[in-house]
Amino acid sequence: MVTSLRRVLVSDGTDCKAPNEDKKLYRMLRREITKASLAEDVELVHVQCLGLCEYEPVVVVYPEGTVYTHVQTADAHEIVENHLVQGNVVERLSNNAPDLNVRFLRRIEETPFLQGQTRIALRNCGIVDPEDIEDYIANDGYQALARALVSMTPADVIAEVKKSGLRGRGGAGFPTGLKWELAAKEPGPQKYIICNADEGDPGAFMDRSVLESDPHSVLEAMTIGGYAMGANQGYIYVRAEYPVAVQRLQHAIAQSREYGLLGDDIFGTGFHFDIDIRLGAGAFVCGEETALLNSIEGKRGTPRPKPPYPAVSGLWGKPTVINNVETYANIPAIMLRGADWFAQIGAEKAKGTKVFALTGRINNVGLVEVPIGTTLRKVIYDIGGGIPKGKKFKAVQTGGPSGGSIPAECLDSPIEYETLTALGSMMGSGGMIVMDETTCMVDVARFYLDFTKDESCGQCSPCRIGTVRILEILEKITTGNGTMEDLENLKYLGEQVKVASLCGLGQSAPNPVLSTMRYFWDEYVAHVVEKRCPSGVCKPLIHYTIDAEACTGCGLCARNCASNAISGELKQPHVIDDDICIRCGTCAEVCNYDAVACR
Amino acid sequence: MTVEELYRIKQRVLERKQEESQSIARIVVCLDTGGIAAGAEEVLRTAEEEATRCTQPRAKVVRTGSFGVSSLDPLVMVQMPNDEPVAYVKMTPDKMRHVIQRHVIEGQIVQEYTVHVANNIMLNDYTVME
Repeated sequence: MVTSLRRVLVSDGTDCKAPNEDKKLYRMLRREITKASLAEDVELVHVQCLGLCEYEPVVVVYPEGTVYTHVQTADAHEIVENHLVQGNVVERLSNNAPDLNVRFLRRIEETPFLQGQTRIALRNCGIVDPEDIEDYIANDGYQALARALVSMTPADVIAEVKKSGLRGRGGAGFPTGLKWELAAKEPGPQKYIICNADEGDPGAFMDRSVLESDPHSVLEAMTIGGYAMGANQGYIYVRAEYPVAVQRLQHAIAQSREYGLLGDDIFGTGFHFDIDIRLGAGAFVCGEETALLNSIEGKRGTPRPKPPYPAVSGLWGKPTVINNVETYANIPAIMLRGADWFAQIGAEKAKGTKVFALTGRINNVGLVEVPIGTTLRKVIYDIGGGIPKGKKFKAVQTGGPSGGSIPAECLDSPIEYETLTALGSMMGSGGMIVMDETTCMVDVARFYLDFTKDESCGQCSPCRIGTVRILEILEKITTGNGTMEDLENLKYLGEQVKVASLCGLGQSAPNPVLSTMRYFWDEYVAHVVEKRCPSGVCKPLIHYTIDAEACTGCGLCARNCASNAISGELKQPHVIDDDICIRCGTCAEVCNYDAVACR
Repeated sequence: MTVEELYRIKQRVLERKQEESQSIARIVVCLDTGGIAAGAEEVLRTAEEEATRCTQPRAKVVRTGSFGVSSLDPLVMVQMPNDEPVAYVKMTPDKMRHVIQRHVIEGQIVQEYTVHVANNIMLNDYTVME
């Protein structure tokens, strides 16, 4: 059965800027539609603010896609009668915003989200069938490997990768070619190459997407790397929480073996190489390379002291190269199109592109691949489409729990390894969580420390104890018990944990705290001195009150209050008992007169 | 496998695709964890069922990974013979049936399900109010 409904969207900003309108336009349209006996044929949808704030109230009629702007309740009858009944567009309302450019896009590549991107690591994502090796081959797959094995020496391959300027995409940004060279120089018949697919940052999913959409590019790149450094065995360390990625990788490895692209004598060159999968149990610390090595060896996933670096003594004490999924995804493109082509993209100190998983309070959620050096503003506003519901941008967290929050005044900074580090954050693996004005930065720091405290492996005391102590102080602040001395201690403790911890987890765990203290000091002070949460997030610090002037005494809030904290005579101003109030905010949401204030 | 064999596979697949692009409607369903979470598997199943009804042209359902445009999942591309693909966003089994009937069988693009933008803001990427 094929359904053919008309769909009418109403966006009147009731969720953001005009909460008192109370669905008037929507209700009027519904009444008119029912009156015209169209209720069965028209689906009327009341939608959250579409982002066309200056044109609201907006009504969109499908299938034509007619956009009516500045629609008044009095226009409802005309739209229903002329358009829905007779099929004539109400020109008066569709043409009253000449600067509004409305169109349908045919190809997904035309969307503003994809238009601003440069895709190298994600070049095949969405294009090839990840479960069909021949589809990958048809898209130039395994040609980079053929070129490397047949017409280049291992030293040539390393030189090409070095020349490209590719740096590790897992966080620290170590030059990939150099890493390969260090391992290649080590003596010994047995070496290993590892793909780090233990993507653990909350909100990051770029590695998963590459593994699920283009697994062969990772296999091809690892084989090239194995040839360059002299390894015959590769391991992909991927978390068991990524079942689709694991299944596609297994399938891809089996296909590659079947086609002779893994195994003995690849392309008749005598080079043999194979890849196996190792499943991680989901510990965040196992994304740290030495903890990952221990985990593959079957030991507890705790980091090792460095040096010796894995390139010298890695898996089972053998020279080992560990690269991130996205780093590998770049390799076939570099080998095919040349280091010079790659080196002209990006910034001076870092070449190529970086993939970010854009999430949080952002209109267009998804994967963004842009040249390194692109500004944060371009990623968040041009590609990400800005902040929903007309809210103001507050900060963006890059690098997940290891990174920091970057405030609005730094939005024009280019995204580069060094710039982000100077801003107190880091590139990290590429999570990018956007926060708007309703986010409390102290609470954000608390959230991340709660995460790192859980994920600390417990091996070294600065991280094991330090993260717990930092969290305790943050909890003290968010519950209104903090002092100025706590802020001093927090800063001191954060810096100590940073320098004294054994591995990257502890060394970067204080970053969310230190960066929010750096850019949002006022918010910390407000929590401590005024016992106030400016964003209204920390429940012990907020109070709901009813404005006696604005309150009409309708009783709606009292009826909706779950804790019976609101009392008052009908048609008389109501009051909230602060001792009983659980700060759920329902009263403010239901009030039709904007009489409930949160402070 | 030799390098020559690799090229031969590439040639063979490209030729087959070229041939198919002249006679067969290709329905591509993007299927990664994000798409699956948004319901892409049901859309794929519907596409496979409905594709059997298509005779002129015949329809072939294939899967790919993800473009990474998570907010528009599930994403389906329909490419008619000798034509450019059309991207349908936020698909459901119902919309899929509709697209196969209108686009593949009757030859009409179902514009309503393609990306609709006003000043670079996507309109059909909406959230329904409670």
